Amino acid sequence: MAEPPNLDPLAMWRDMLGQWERGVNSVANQAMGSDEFSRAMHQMTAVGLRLQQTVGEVVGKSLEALNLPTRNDLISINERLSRIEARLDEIATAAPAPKPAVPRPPRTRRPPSA
Amino acid sequence: MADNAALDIGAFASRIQEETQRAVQRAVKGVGYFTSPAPAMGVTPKDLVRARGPARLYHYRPTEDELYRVPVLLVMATTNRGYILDLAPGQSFIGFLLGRGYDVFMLEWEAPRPEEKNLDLGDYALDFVAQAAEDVKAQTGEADFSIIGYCAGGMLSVIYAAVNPGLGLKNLVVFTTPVDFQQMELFANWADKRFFDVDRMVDTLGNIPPEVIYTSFDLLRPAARVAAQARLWDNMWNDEFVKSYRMFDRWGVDALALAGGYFRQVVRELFWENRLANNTLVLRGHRVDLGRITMPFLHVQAEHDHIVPRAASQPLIGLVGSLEKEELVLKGGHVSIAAGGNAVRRMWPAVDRFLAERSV
Repeated sequence: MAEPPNLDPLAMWRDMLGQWERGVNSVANQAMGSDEFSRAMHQMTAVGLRLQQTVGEVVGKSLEALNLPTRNDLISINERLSRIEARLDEIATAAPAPKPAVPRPPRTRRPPSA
Repeated sequence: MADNAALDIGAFASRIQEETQRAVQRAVKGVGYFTSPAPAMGVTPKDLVRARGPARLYHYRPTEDELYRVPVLLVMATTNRGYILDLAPGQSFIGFLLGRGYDVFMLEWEAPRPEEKNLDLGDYALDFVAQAAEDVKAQTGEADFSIIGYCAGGMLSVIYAAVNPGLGLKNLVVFTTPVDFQQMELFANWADKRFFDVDRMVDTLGNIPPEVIYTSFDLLRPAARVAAQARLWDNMWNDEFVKSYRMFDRWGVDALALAGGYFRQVVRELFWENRLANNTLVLRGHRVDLGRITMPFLHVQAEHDHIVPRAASQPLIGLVGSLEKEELVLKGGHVSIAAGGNAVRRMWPAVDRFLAERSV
Protein backbone atom coordinates (compact mmCIF):
# COMPACT_ATOMS: atom_id res chain seq x y z
CA MET A 1 0.00 0.00 0.00
CA ALA A 2 1.36 3.42 -0.91
CA GLU A 3 2.45 5.73 1.92
CA PRO A 4 -0.01 8.59 2.48
CA PRO A 5 1.50 11.96 1.50
CA ASN A 6 3.14 13.78 4.43
CA LEU A 7 1.35 17.10 4.74
CA ASP A 8 3.37 18.35 7.74
CA PRO A 9 4.71 21.71 6.48
CA LEU A 10 7.76 21.63 8.76
CA ALA A 11 8.70 18.11 7.68
CA MET A 12 8.36 19.30 4.07
CA TRP A 13 10.55 22.31 4.86
CA ARG A 14 13.23 20.04 6.40
CA ASP A 15 13.18 17.79 3.33
CA MET A 16 13.48 20.81 1.07
CA LEU A 17 16.41 22.13 3.11
CA GLY A 18 18.23 18.81 2.72
CA GLN A 19 17.54 18.74 -1.01
CA TRP A 20 18.63 22.37 -1.43
CA GLU A 21 21.88 21.68 0.46
CA ARG A 22 22.71 18.60 -1.61
CA GLY A 23 21.82 20.40 -4.85
CA VAL A 24 23.89 23.51 -4.14
CA ASN A 25 26.87 21.46 -2.96
CA SER A 26 26.72 19.26 -6.03
CA VAL A 27 26.48 22.16 -8.50
CA ALA A 28 29.18 24.15 -6.66
CA ASN A 29 31.51 21.12 -6.50
CA GLN A 30 31.16 20.67 -10.27
CA ALA A 31 31.96 24.34 -10.87
CA MET A 32 34.87 24.33 -8.40
CA GLY A 33 36.33 21.24 -10.06
CA SER A 34 36.86 23.12 -13.34
CA ASP A 35 40.07 24.66 -14.68
CA GLU A 36 38.28 27.99 -14.98
CA PHE A 37 37.50 28.11 -11.27
CA SER A 38 41.03 27.18 -10.29
CA ARG A 39 42.50 29.80 -12.65
CA ALA A 40 40.12 32.52 -11.41
CA MET A 41 40.73 31.63 -7.75
CA HIS A 42 44.49 31.87 -8.13
CA GLN A 43 44.30 35.08 -10.16
CA MET A 44 42.36 36.65 -7.30
CA THR A 45 44.80 35.23 -4.76
CA ALA A 46 47.74 36.60 -6.74
CA VAL A 47 46.19 40.08 -6.77
CA GLY A 48 45.69 39.89 -3.00
CA LEU A 49 49.26 38.70 -2.44
CA ARG A 50 50.70 41.46 -4.66
CA LEU A 51 48.65 44.03 -2.75
CA GLN A 52 49.80 42.64 0.58
CA GLN A 53 53.42 42.70 -0.59
CA THR A 54 53.16 46.30 -1.82
CA VAL A 55 51.44 47.54 1.34
CA GLY A 56 54.05 45.69 3.43
CA GLU A 57 56.89 47.39 1.56
CA VAL A 58 55.33 50.85 1.87
CA VAL A 59 54.59 50.41 5.59
CA GLY A 60 58.08 48.98 6.15
CA LYS A 61 59.71 52.01 4.50
CA SER A 62 57.53 54.39 6.52
CA LEU A 63 58.46 52.67 9.80
CA GLU A 64 62.12 52.73 8.80
CA ALA A 65 61.87 56.49 8.13
CA LEU A 66 60.36 56.94 11.59
CA ASN A 67 63.17 54.85 13.10
CA LEU A 68 60.67 52.23 14.30
CA PRO A 69 61.09 48.44 14.05
CA THR A 70 59.30 46.72 11.16
CA ARG A 71 57.55 43.34 11.32
CA ASN A 72 60.63 41.77 9.76
CA ASP A 73 62.81 43.27 12.51
CA LEU A 74 60.58 41.71 15.15
CA ILE A 75 60.64 38.37 13.32
CA SER A 76 64.47 38.55 13.26
CA ILE A 77 64.51 39.05 17.03
CA ASN A 78 62.08 36.14 17.41
CA GLU A 79 64.34 34.00 15.24
CA ARG A 80 67.25 34.74 17.56
CA LEU A 81 65.08 33.85 20.56
CA SER A 82 64.00 30.66 18.78
CA ARG A 83 67.61 29.68 18.23
CA ILE A 84 68.21 30.12 21.97
CA GLU A 85 65.07 28.06 22.69
CA ALA A 86 66.22 25.39 20.23
CA ARG A 87 69.57 25.22 22.02
CA LEU A 88 67.75 24.84 25.35
CA ASP A 89 65.56 22.14 23.74
CA GLU A 90 68.65 20.26 22.67
CA ILE A 91 69.88 20.31 26.25
CA ALA A 92 66.44 19.23 27.50
CA THR A 93 66.22 16.50 24.85
CA ALA A 94 69.56 15.09 25.92
CA ALA A 95 68.07 14.59 29.39
CA PRO A 96 65.18 12.09 29.57
CA ALA A 97 61.66 13.48 29.97
CA PRO A 98 60.73 13.88 33.63
CA LYS A 99 59.06 10.89 35.22
CA PRO A 100 55.41 11.38 36.21
CA ALA A 101 55.08 12.96 39.65
CA VAL A 102 52.21 10.73 40.76
CA PRO A 103 52.61 6.93 40.85
CA ARG A 104 50.83 5.19 37.99
CA PRO A 105 48.58 2.11 38.34
CA PRO A 106 50.15 -1.27 37.54
CA ARG A 107 50.41 -2.12 33.84
CA THR A 108 49.03 -5.62 34.17
CA ARG A 109 45.62 -5.27 32.57
CA ARG A 110 44.42 -8.10 30.30
CA PRO A 111 41.74 -7.83 27.60
CA PRO A 112 38.27 -8.94 28.75
CA SER A 113 38.33 -12.19 26.74
CA ALA A 114 41.80 -13.24 27.96
CA MET B 1 -13.56 7.03 7.32
CA ALA B 2 -15.02 9.60 9.71
CA ASP B 3 -12.83 8.08 12.47
CA ASN B 4 -9.70 8.54 10.30
CA ALA B 5 -10.58 12.15 9.62
CA ALA B 6 -11.07 12.75 13.36
CA LEU B 7 -7.70 11.07 14.04
CA ASP B 8 -5.97 13.22 11.44
CA ILE B 9 -7.48 16.39 12.84
CA GLY B 10 -6.41 15.29 16.36
CA ALA B 11 -2.87 14.56 15.16
CA PHE B 12 -2.75 17.86 13.30
CA ALA B 13 -3.90 19.79 16.39
CA SER B 14 -1.30 18.08 18.56
CA ARG B 15 1.39 18.87 15.95
CA ILE B 16 0.37 22.54 15.98
CA GLN B 17 0.53 22.56 19.77
CA GLU B 18 4.01 20.95 19.74
CA GLU B 19 5.30 23.43 17.16
CA THR B 20 3.87 26.36 19.11
CA GLN B 21 5.69 25.19 22.25
CA ARG B 22 8.91 24.78 20.25
CA ALA B 23 8.53 28.26 18.76
CA VAL B 24 8.31 29.73 22.27
CA GLN B 25 11.30 27.67 23.41
CA ARG B 26 13.28 28.75 20.33
CA ALA B 27 12.75 32.39 21.25
CA VAL B 28 13.65 31.88 24.92
CA LYS B 29 16.64 29.61 24.31
CA GLY B 30 17.80 31.65 21.34
CA VAL B 31 18.46 34.55 23.73
CA GLY B 32 20.41 32.15 25.98
CA TYR B 33 22.40 30.93 22.97
CA PHE B 34 23.72 34.40 22.18
CA THR B 35 24.39 35.35 25.80
CA SER B 36 26.08 32.18 27.12
CA PRO B 37 29.62 30.98 26.52
CA ALA B 38 30.34 27.88 24.41
CA PRO B 39 30.57 24.63 26.39
CA ALA B 40 33.98 23.80 27.86
CA MET B 41 35.93 21.26 25.82
CA GLY B 42 39.17 19.34 26.27
CA VAL B 43 38.75 19.20 30.04
CA THR B 44 39.98 15.66 30.77
CA PRO B 45 42.80 16.13 33.32
CA LYS B 46 46.24 16.00 31.73
CA ASP B 47 49.85 17.04 32.29
CA LEU B 48 52.09 18.75 29.76
CA VAL B 49 55.13 16.55 29.13
CA ARG B 50 56.94 18.67 26.57
CA ALA B 51 56.34 21.88 24.61
CA ARG B 52 58.69 22.36 21.71
CA GLY B 53 58.07 24.57 18.68
CA PRO B 54 54.43 24.01 17.69
CA ALA B 55 54.36 20.53 19.30
CA ARG B 56 52.64 19.84 22.63
CA LEU B 57 52.80 16.39 24.22
CA TYR B 58 50.21 15.74 26.94
CA HIS B 59 49.85 12.78 29.29
CA TYR B 60 46.29 12.10 30.48
CA ARG B 61 45.70 11.03 34.07
CA PRO B 62 44.49 7.44 34.30
CA THR B 63 40.98 6.72 35.56
CA GLU B 64 41.38 2.95 36.02
CA ASP B 65 43.22 0.99 38.73
CA GLU B 66 44.99 -1.26 36.22
CA LEU B 67 46.42 -0.24 32.83
CA TYR B 68 47.42 -2.10 29.70
CA ARG B 69 51.17 -2.44 29.49
CA VAL B 70 51.50 -0.72 26.10
CA PRO B 71 50.82 3.05 26.17
CA VAL B 72 48.94 4.84 23.38
CA LEU B 73 50.15 7.99 21.62
CA LEU B 74 47.48 9.94 19.74
CA VAL B 75 48.82 12.12 16.92
CA MET B 76 46.48 14.95 16.00
CA ALA B 77 46.01 16.55 12.58
CA THR B 78 48.14 19.64 11.97
CA THR B 79 45.19 21.75 10.80
CA ASN B 80 42.95 21.55 13.89
CA ARG B 81 42.92 21.46 17.67
CA GLY B 82 43.09 18.18 19.56
CA TYR B 83 39.98 18.76 21.65
CA ILE B 84 37.84 17.16 18.93
CA LEU B 85 39.00 13.91 20.57
CA ASP B 86 37.99 15.20 24.01
CA LEU B 87 34.76 17.14 23.48
CA ALA B 88 32.79 16.44 26.66
CA PRO B 89 32.24 13.60 29.14
CA GLY B 90 30.60 10.76 27.19
CA GLN B 91 31.76 12.32 23.91
CA SER B 92 35.48 12.00 24.50
CA PHE B 93 37.61 9.45 22.66
CA ILE B 94 40.32 10.09 25.23
CA GLY B 95 37.87 9.51 28.10
CA PHE B 96 36.80 6.29 26.38
CA LEU B 97 40.39 5.02 26.06
CA LEU B 98 41.15 5.94 29.68
CA GLY B 99 38.00 4.10 30.79
CA ARG B 100 39.13 1.00 28.89
CA GLY B 101 42.45 1.01 30.74
CA TYR B 102 44.89 2.59 28.29
CA ASP B 103 47.69 4.94 29.31
CA VAL B 104 47.01 7.82 26.92
CA PHE B 105 49.29 10.53 25.51
CA MET B 106 48.41 13.07 22.84
CA LEU B 107 50.68 14.98 20.51
CA GLU B 108 48.85 18.07 19.34
CA TRP B 109 49.83 21.34 17.73
CA GLU B 110 49.88 25.06 18.24
CA ALA B 111 50.04 27.49 15.33
CA PRO B 112 53.64 27.89 14.17
CA ARG B 113 55.18 31.27 14.97
CA PRO B 114 56.37 33.54 12.13
CA GLU B 115 59.98 32.45 12.66
CA GLU B 116 58.90 28.78 12.40
CA LYS B 117 57.71 29.24 8.82
CA ASN B 118 60.40 26.92 7.46
CA LEU B 119 59.30 23.85 9.45
CA ASP B 120 58.59 21.07 6.98
CA LEU B 121 57.20 17.53 6.80
CA GLY B 122 60.49 16.12 8.02
CA ASP B 123 60.37 18.32 11.13
CA TYR B 124 56.83 17.24 11.94
CA ALA B 125 57.06 13.49 11.20
CA LEU B 126 60.68 12.68 11.96
CA ASP B 127 61.40 15.17 14.73
CA PHE B 128 58.24 16.10 16.67
CA VAL B 129 56.51 12.69 16.36
CA ALA B 130 59.80 10.88 17.00
CA GLN B 131 60.51 13.03 20.07
CA ALA B 132 56.99 12.37 21.40
CA ALA B 133 57.49 8.62 20.91
CA GLU B 134 60.75 8.73 22.90
CA ASP B 135 59.04 10.77 25.66
CA VAL B 136 56.20 8.22 25.89
CA LYS B 137 58.73 5.43 26.33
CA ALA B 138 60.65 7.41 28.96
CA GLN B 139 57.49 8.38 30.87
CA THR B 140 56.10 4.86 31.01
CA GLY B 141 59.32 2.86 31.20
CA GLU B 142 58.00 0.66 28.37
CA ALA B 143 60.02 -0.19 25.28
CA ASP B 144 57.03 -0.22 22.98
CA PHE B 145 53.91 1.84 22.34
CA SER B 146 50.94 2.19 19.97
CA ILE B 147 50.09 5.18 17.79
CA ILE B 148 46.63 6.37 16.76
CA GLY B 149 46.77 9.07 14.08
CA TYR B 150 43.88 11.23 12.85
CA CYS B 151 43.81 12.64 9.30
CA ALA B 152 47.12 14.46 8.67
CA GLY B 153 48.21 13.10 12.06
CA GLY B 154 47.76 9.66 10.51
CA MET B 155 49.89 10.75 7.56
CA LEU B 156 52.68 11.90 9.90
CA SER B 157 52.34 8.61 11.82
CA VAL B 158 52.73 6.40 8.75
CA ILE B 159 55.75 8.45 7.64
CA TYR B 160 57.30 8.06 11.11
CA ALA B 161 56.50 4.32 11.14
CA ALA B 162 57.96 3.77 7.66
CA VAL B 163 61.24 5.52 8.49
CA ASN B 164 61.61 4.12 12.04
CA PRO B 165 60.45 0.49 11.94
CA GLY B 166 62.65 -0.65 14.82
CA LEU B 167 62.00 1.96 17.50
CA GLY B 168 59.24 0.22 19.47
CA LEU B 169 56.08 1.09 17.55
CA LYS B 170 53.99 -2.02 18.33
CA ASN B 171 50.61 -1.15 16.79
CA LEU B 172 49.55 1.52 14.32
CA VAL B 173 45.96 2.74 13.97
CA VAL B 174 45.09 5.57 11.59
CA PHE B 175 41.78 6.97 10.52
CA THR B 176 40.72 9.15 7.58
CA THR B 177 44.35 9.34 6.48
CA PRO B 178 45.18 10.65 2.99
CA VAL B 179 47.81 8.86 0.95
CA ASP B 180 46.83 9.28 -2.72
CA PHE B 181 46.58 13.06 -2.96
CA GLN B 182 45.54 13.06 -6.60
CA GLN B 183 42.27 11.49 -5.49
CA MET B 184 41.47 14.47 -3.25
CA GLU B 185 39.76 15.91 -6.27
CA LEU B 186 38.78 19.45 -5.29
CA PHE B 187 41.94 20.12 -3.27
CA ALA B 188 44.02 18.66 -6.12
CA ASN B 189 42.24 20.96 -8.59
CA TRP B 190 42.80 24.02 -6.40
CA ALA B 191 46.47 23.08 -6.07
CA ASP B 192 46.84 22.62 -9.87
CA LYS B 193 50.40 23.62 -10.66
CA ARG B 194 49.37 25.33 -13.91
CA PHE B 195 47.59 27.99 -11.84
CA PHE B 196 48.85 27.82 -8.24
CA ASP B 197 52.10 29.65 -7.46
CA VAL B 198 52.70 28.03 -4.07
CA ASP B 199 56.16 29.59 -3.74
CA ARG B 200 54.76 33.08 -4.14
CA MET B 201 52.08 32.37 -1.55
CA VAL B 202 54.50 30.95 1.02
CA ASP B 203 57.17 33.56 0.36
CA THR B 204 54.63 36.36 0.83
CA LEU B 205 52.66 34.98 3.78
CA GLY B 206 55.28 32.92 5.62
CA ASN B 207 52.86 30.65 7.45
CA ILE B 208 49.50 29.88 5.84
CA PRO B 209 46.82 31.68 7.90
CA PRO B 210 44.05 29.66 9.54
CA GLU B 211 41.43 31.53 7.49
CA VAL B 212 42.82 29.91 4.33
CA ILE B 213 42.59 26.45 5.91
CA TYR B 214 39.12 27.03 7.33
CA THR B 215 37.76 28.55 4.11
CA SER B 216 39.13 25.75 1.96
CA PHE B 217 37.40 23.14 4.16
CA ASP B 218 34.18 25.18 4.08
CA LEU B 219 34.31 25.52 0.29
CA LEU B 220 34.09 21.74 -0.10
CA ARG B 221 30.45 22.01 1.00
CA PRO B 222 29.50 25.63 0.43
CA ALA B 223 25.83 25.21 1.41
CA ALA B 224 26.58 23.33 4.62
CA ARG B 225 27.01 26.37 6.87
CA VAL B 226 23.73 28.02 5.82
CA ALA B 227 21.85 24.71 6.14
CA ALA B 228 23.46 24.05 9.53
CA GLN B 229 22.30 27.44 10.82
CA ALA B 230 18.77 26.78 9.58
CA ARG B 231 18.83 23.42 11.39
CA LEU B 232 20.17 25.12 14.50
CA TRP B 233 17.17 27.47 14.48
CA ASP B 234 14.84 24.52 13.90
CA ASN B 235 16.36 22.65 16.87
CA MET B 236 16.96 25.60 19.17
CA TRP B 237 14.47 24.08 21.65
CA ASN B 238 16.67 20.93 21.91
CA ASP B 239 19.48 21.53 24.45
CA GLU B 240 21.50 18.47 23.39
CA PHE B 241 21.41 19.46 19.72
CA VAL B 242 22.46 23.03 20.52
CA LYS B 243 25.32 21.90 22.76
CA SER B 244 26.58 19.50 20.11
CA TYR B 245 26.26 22.17 17.37
CA ARG B 246 28.24 24.67 19.43
CA MET B 247 31.05 22.22 20.16
CA PHE B 248 31.49 21.10 16.55
CA ASP B 249 31.03 24.62 15.16
CA ARG B 250 33.63 26.07 17.51
CA TRP B 251 36.10 23.32 16.70
CA GLY B 252 35.49 23.73 12.95
CA VAL B 253 36.36 27.43 12.94
CA ASP B 254 39.27 26.96 15.36
CA ALA B 255 41.66 26.00 12.55
CA LEU B 256 45.44 26.30 12.91
CA ALA B 257 47.88 28.12 10.69
CA LEU B 258 50.20 25.80 8.78
CA ALA B 259 53.96 26.24 8.63
CA GLY B 260 54.89 27.59 5.20
CA GLY B 261 57.57 24.96 4.58
CA TYR B 262 55.17 22.15 5.48
CA PHE B 263 52.46 23.58 3.20
CA ARG B 264 54.88 24.05 0.30
CA GLN B 265 56.10 20.46 0.62
CA VAL B 266 52.57 19.03 0.85
CA VAL B 267 51.54 20.93 -2.30
CA ARG B 268 54.69 20.23 -4.34
CA GLU B 269 55.55 16.70 -3.30
CA LEU B 270 52.21 15.21 -2.29
CA PHE B 271 49.65 16.98 -4.49
CA TRP B 272 51.80 17.58 -7.56
CA GLU B 273 54.01 14.51 -7.49
CA ASN B 274 51.95 12.13 -5.31
CA ARG B 275 55.14 10.93 -3.66
CA LEU B 276 53.58 9.28 -0.60
CA ALA B 277 51.44 6.96 -2.72
CA ASN B 278 54.37 6.30 -5.08
CA ASN B 279 56.80 5.56 -2.22
CA THR B 280 59.16 8.21 -3.59
CA LEU B 281 58.96 10.78 -0.78
CA VAL B 282 62.41 11.50 0.70
CA LEU B 283 62.66 13.31 4.05
CA ARG B 284 65.99 14.12 5.68
CA GLY B 285 67.68 11.60 3.43
CA HIS B 286 65.25 8.77 4.25
CA ARG B 287 62.98 7.36 1.55
CA VAL B 288 59.47 6.90 2.94
CA ASP B 289 58.63 3.37 1.80
CA LEU B 290 55.26 2.43 3.32
CA GLY B 291 56.10 -1.22 2.67
CA ARG B 292 58.49 -0.99 5.64
CA ILE B 293 55.53 -0.67 8.01
CA THR B 294 55.26 -4.18 9.42
CA MET B 295 53.53 -3.85 12.80
CA PRO B 296 49.81 -4.69 13.22
CA PHE B 297 47.93 -2.01 11.33
CA LEU B 298 44.32 -0.79 11.41
CA HIS B 299 42.99 1.74 8.92
CA VAL B 300 39.54 3.21 9.53
CA GLN B 301 37.82 5.14 6.75
CA ALA B 302 34.58 7.11 6.78
CA GLU B 303 31.97 6.17 4.21
CA HIS B 304 30.94 9.79 3.56
CA ASP B 305 34.26 11.59 4.08
CA HIS B 306 34.17 14.78 2.00
CA ILE B 307 37.60 16.03 3.12
CA VAL B 308 39.63 12.86 2.57
CA PRO B 309 37.51 10.87 0.09
CA ARG B 310 37.81 7.10 0.35
CA ALA B 311 39.67 6.95 -2.96
CA ALA B 312 42.41 9.08 -1.38
CA SER B 313 42.83 6.92 1.73
CA GLN B 314 41.92 3.46 0.46
CA PRO B 315 45.32 2.65 -1.20
CA LEU B 316 47.06 2.84 2.20
CA ILE B 317 46.08 -0.68 3.27
CA GLY B 318 47.70 -2.13 0.14
CA LEU B 319 50.86 -0.08 0.54
CA VAL B 320 51.77 -1.04 4.12
CA GLY B 321 53.80 -4.21 4.48
CA SER B 322 52.12 -5.49 7.68
CA LEU B 323 50.96 -9.10 7.69
CA GLU B 324 48.32 -8.28 10.32
CA LYS B 325 46.35 -5.47 8.75
CA GLU B 326 42.69 -4.55 8.78
CA GLU B 327 40.61 -1.98 6.97
CA LEU B 328 37.28 -0.77 8.30
CA VAL B 329 34.81 1.44 6.47
CA LEU B 330 32.37 2.94 8.95
CA LYS B 331 29.29 5.07 8.49
CA GLY B 332 29.93 8.76 9.05
CA GLY B 333 31.92 11.68 7.77
CA HIS B 334 35.43 12.99 8.33
CA VAL B 335 34.65 14.44 11.76
CA SER B 336 31.71 12.33 12.91
CA ILE B 337 33.82 9.19 12.58
CA ALA B 338 36.07 10.54 15.36
CA ALA B 339 33.57 12.36 17.57
CA GLY B 340 29.81 12.17 17.95
CA GLY B 341 27.27 9.37 17.92
CA ASN B 342 28.85 7.38 15.07
CA ALA B 343 32.20 7.43 16.81
CA VAL B 344 30.80 6.30 20.17
CA ARG B 345 28.91 3.40 18.60
CA ARG B 346 31.33 2.34 15.90
CA MET B 347 34.84 3.70 15.72
CA TRP B 348 35.88 3.76 19.37
CA PRO B 349 34.86 0.12 20.10
CA ALA B 350 36.58 -0.98 16.86
CA VAL B 351 39.86 0.64 17.96
CA ASP B 352 39.54 -0.91 21.43
CA ARG B 353 38.91 -4.37 19.95
CA PHE B 354 42.01 -4.02 17.78
CA LEU B 355 44.33 -2.64 20.46
CA ALA B 356 43.27 -4.50 23.62
CA GLU B 357 44.71 -7.89 22.79
CA ARG B 358 47.82 -6.27 21.32
CA SER B 359 48.52 -4.02 24.32
CA VAL B 360 49.58 -6.60 26.93
